[in-house]
Amino acid sequence: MDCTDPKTMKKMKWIFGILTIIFAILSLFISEKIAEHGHFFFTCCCPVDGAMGVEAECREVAIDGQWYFATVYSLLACCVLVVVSTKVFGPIFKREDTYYND
Amino acid sequence: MIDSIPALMVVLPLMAGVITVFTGKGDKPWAWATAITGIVFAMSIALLAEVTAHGPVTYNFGNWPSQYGIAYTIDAMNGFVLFVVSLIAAVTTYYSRLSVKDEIPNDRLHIFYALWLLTICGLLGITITGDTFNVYVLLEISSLTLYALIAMGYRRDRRALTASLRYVILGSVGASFLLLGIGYLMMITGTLNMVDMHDRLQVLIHNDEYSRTIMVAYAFLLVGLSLKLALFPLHMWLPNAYTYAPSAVTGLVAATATKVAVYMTIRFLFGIFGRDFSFGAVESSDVLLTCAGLGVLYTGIQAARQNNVKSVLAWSSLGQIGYIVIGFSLNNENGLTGSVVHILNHALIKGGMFLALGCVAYRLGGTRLTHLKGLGRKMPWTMAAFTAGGLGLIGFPLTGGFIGKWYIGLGALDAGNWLILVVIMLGSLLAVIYVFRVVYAIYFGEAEPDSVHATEAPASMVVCTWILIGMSLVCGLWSEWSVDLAANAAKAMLAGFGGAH
Amino acid sequence: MISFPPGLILIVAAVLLPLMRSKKAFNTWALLASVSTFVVVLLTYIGGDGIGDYTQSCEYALLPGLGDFHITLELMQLNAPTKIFATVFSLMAIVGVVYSFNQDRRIELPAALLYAGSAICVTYAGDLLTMFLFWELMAVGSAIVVWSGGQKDSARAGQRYVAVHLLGGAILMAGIVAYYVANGDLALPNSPLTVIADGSYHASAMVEYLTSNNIAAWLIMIGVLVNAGAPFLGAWLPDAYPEASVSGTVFLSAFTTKTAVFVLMMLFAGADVLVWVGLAMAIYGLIYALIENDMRRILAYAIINQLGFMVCAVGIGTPLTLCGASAHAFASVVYKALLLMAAGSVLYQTGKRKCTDLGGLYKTMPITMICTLIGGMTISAMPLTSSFTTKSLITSGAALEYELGHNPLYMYAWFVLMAASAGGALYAGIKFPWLVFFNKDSGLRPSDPPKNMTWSMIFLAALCVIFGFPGISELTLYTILPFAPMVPGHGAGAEPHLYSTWSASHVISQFALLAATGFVFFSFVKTLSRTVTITIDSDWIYRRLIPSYVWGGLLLPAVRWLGKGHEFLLGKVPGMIARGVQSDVIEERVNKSIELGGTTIRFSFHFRDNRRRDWAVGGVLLVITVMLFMYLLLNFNAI
Repeated sequence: MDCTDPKTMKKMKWIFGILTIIFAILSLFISEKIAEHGHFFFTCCCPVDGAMGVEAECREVAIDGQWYFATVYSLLACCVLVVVSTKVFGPIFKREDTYYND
Repeated sequence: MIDSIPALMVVLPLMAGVITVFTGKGDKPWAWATAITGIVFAMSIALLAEVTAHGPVTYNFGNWPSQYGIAYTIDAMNGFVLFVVSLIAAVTTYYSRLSVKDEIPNDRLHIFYALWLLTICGLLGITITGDTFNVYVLLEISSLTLYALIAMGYRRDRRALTASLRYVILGSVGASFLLLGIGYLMMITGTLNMVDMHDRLQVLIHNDEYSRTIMVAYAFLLVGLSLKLALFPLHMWLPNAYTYAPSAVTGLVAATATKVAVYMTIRFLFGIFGRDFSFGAVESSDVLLTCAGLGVLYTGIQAARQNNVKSVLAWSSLGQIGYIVIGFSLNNENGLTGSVVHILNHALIKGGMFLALGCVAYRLGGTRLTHLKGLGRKMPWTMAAFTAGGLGLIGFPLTGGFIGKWYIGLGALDAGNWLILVVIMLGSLLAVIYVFRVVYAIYFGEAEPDSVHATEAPASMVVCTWILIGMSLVCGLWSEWSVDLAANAAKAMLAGFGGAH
Repeated sequence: MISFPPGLILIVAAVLLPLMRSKKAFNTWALLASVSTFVVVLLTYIGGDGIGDYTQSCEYALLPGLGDFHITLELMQLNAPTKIFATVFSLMAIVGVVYSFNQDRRIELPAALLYAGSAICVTYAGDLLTMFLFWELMAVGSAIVVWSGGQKDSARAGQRYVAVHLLGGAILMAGIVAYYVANGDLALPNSPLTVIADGSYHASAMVEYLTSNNIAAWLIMIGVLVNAGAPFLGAWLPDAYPEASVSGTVFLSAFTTKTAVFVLMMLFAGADVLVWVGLAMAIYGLIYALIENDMRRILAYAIINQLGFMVCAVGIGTPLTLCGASAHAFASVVYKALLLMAAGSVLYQTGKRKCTDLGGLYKTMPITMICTLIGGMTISAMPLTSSFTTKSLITSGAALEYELGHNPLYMYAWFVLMAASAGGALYAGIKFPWLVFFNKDSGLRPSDPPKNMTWSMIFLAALCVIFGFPGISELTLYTILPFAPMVPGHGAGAEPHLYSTWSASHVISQFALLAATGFVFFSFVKTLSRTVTITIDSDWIYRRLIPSYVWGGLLLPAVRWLGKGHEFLLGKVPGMIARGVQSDVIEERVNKSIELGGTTIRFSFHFRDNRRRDWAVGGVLLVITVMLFMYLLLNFNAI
């Protein structure tokens, strides 16, 4: 099997694409649930003076948005990383194999 | 027996040296010399122990009072130097068997060892004696025999002859300067005994009598001694003499001859003229520090340029002499302690490294940088010794070379002389360069076709090399005893004549 | 009780190892030493009462004879992060020994054991000097490992490695001396954080020095960051690691950088500057890993990328992130060694290390391929692998710290770490296995490596999975962390509870992140295709800029020019003076006349005989005279 076969590549792209969408929807769903409960994962009592464990004015913080956000963010981040490293840094830092040997 | 040890220290090798001529061929002269130097070494330990425990020892030849006869006086200072010289003598003599057979015409071995023992006798005598004229006589004994020993390297390289000739001329000039200086001193003090001379000089200096004469004597002695200890810029006799001498001779001379000259200088400056005169009334501290400081830098650069590794070490010796001179020129206890302890550590390191090069010469017939290329694999023990010694030359912590530099650095701090610290740092940096240039060739160079079949040197040679290098490492790790001895010596010298009154 | 640092066992064994003549005795001895070290490490903290109680100081007068310069070495102190670091180090020593069973280099394994042993000793150090001594010993051991690599460029890379580490060590030593001058004490606190009774905490004295810009703290930090592989300081890492042997690289990947994390944690927990350094490392490692072609250099940059997480976590410096940093150090030692073992197996079997030469090996090296995939999944923090827990501790710690204090720094940290996490999945989780084992068939048909190598890989792969299993980490890893990783409870008045990664949203979003990464990879697979190139890093400065341009182009001509002056001053001037006073005849004039047919032609030769320079003493005699007169003149008026 030649793995560089365009058909295989396309298949792989589809598989991962669909997986991405499924997980994105799932995380969306979970975020909805979070909205109902008001919190899901990280909540904390935040004393006004900032020290942990001191009983003070408590507020609930939900930072689950991060997980929902993760899908979109990672898609974007990966694209940027790939493009920046290959198109910008690649040409700057790549040299022929024998660069240090001459 | 124990009472006559001081006399035996000199008389034994003197007599034995003459007898060597009749010991015959083969290994006999070597065995004879080894036995004698071994006994001398044992006696030096006994003397050092005696001096450390009970203070200075005086021996009057023929029971003449010291004013008239010859007196040997051993205090903490020369007891220590005697120990160093006889230690190096014993190890190099044992080492020399194969190396000398390889480099000296075999029908002259008995002559060689006769000269060898007489050199040692001279060096020990200069150190042990308490009589200034005796110093000159024994200096001539050691020098004349040494010239011949160096010239014996001609079989390997004919330049040994010119090097020796140059040494003869310059050495004689130095010796005659010394003789002139001693003569002037005798003229005004009327004595040759060091203790008496010291006492009378102090009176004269105090009363401001004969001050010009004392000063001229001082100038002649100091220049003569500077020449003998190869202080830059009076060093020119040394590099070639060390480079072209037979390997064993280089090992012996490099570790002892200049050290004994340093001892003489310290003895004259502190013990006879007194530190108040040497570093107060006359201007010598700055001159010595300038010469030694420039010397450390200049010789470091020269060492980095040499292609014969023996030359590298010879030039490096000059730099190390520079440190020692810096140490005592600082005229304080830490500096002098550093000088004295560096006499020991440098003797061990440089002796060991020259012996390692002797192993290389024995196997490969030469010590050029190209000979050493790739030897790290062929002669691992020898090269490890060389590398360990090289670290000592740099003054790497945990090696012997560090201790002396540390104390000299402390002395410079005590004297408030920051420039000297900079010189020591730069000198160490240069040492890194010239040592690693060689170490690099040893471990990363491609072996030359001639040296492809080289193998480890014979065990007796490697063991001797490692005795010296190992001792230098031990002195770096457990430096208490050597530093204590050196500090005692320094205190004694700073107090005047070793407390031998 | 154990009264010596367990690493000493390995150090002593390393010294004795070369005496073992037969291969079997050699291997057995090494294995025995590493296993007993592991056992002793466990004993030190299983028997101990707790962190810090167990201090064994070993008073040793350093360099006796240097006057009052006595220093006490605290060889044995159970620091807060010691347990986890020492455990993973000693574990790696065992696996590394097994992996190198079939290597026939006699120097490498002793050096590697010395290296591992000193790394373990660093973690037990009770003061900065002890730490430094073992730190340097590590440098020695690791340099020998690089040197004995047997690759084309091993010797040169080894020299550069030594040079950089000597420099780093010198900077560190200077910092320690400066710290001693400022502080008068070199003791390390048992814990990176001083936890006050009410649960709040503050950072070590070193961080205060850092904020007050004390030179000591900066020097120490730079010295440690050299070993951590920070940008501009860490180019030695991708330079040297791929030049070590197959087994050597496995050792190298485990110790140097992780001890740097340990030391940073002990000294600089909570130093904001480390957050920036860590983020820079994460991105820098990532970018280079993406454009690199040599498979082991890819993994070397992956080490830097993962270290970025840990350094950043140390910089955030809360109990949760410090737990994350040390737990991630544990996980990453395991999976990085696994990946390098896999790469090493490929190199061992094929002799090739460039991705352009490899591909399509999955058929004939199935076990290696599966182990690589597991390693790749672990580095990508796939749920059910160890780093899913450990990496989340760091990112969640950053997020929590932002929520608590609204310091934007921690938000940036979170963003960059998430991107780096996705990127990590991209290059190591997917790209590395893809290029080596799938991709275009290279025509190579190597088999799986010898048994000892295979089993080491399987063992490490199993560790990756076991520690990822829900509940296992909590039972094992959590107990040897520096702190219990607590997070505040839900809602008002709730008790703080142990951090758990296994929330539905976290699992799902992690999968989402990985799936998105896969999608991006296969979309950009053309762009990411390999080229036969190398990438230049900051080592360019000392491999090219300084030797070729600064030295060759600028300094060397200057030195040559100065050399002429030197030659004139030292070569010609003394001769001129000597001739001036007629004391030295180096030159000779020879007159000859020839009779030619009644006329006489006179020739005058003027030559210099170089051989005679050896004889010439006139110059020296002149100097002697000058010296004598100088003394006389200087002191003429003195008396």
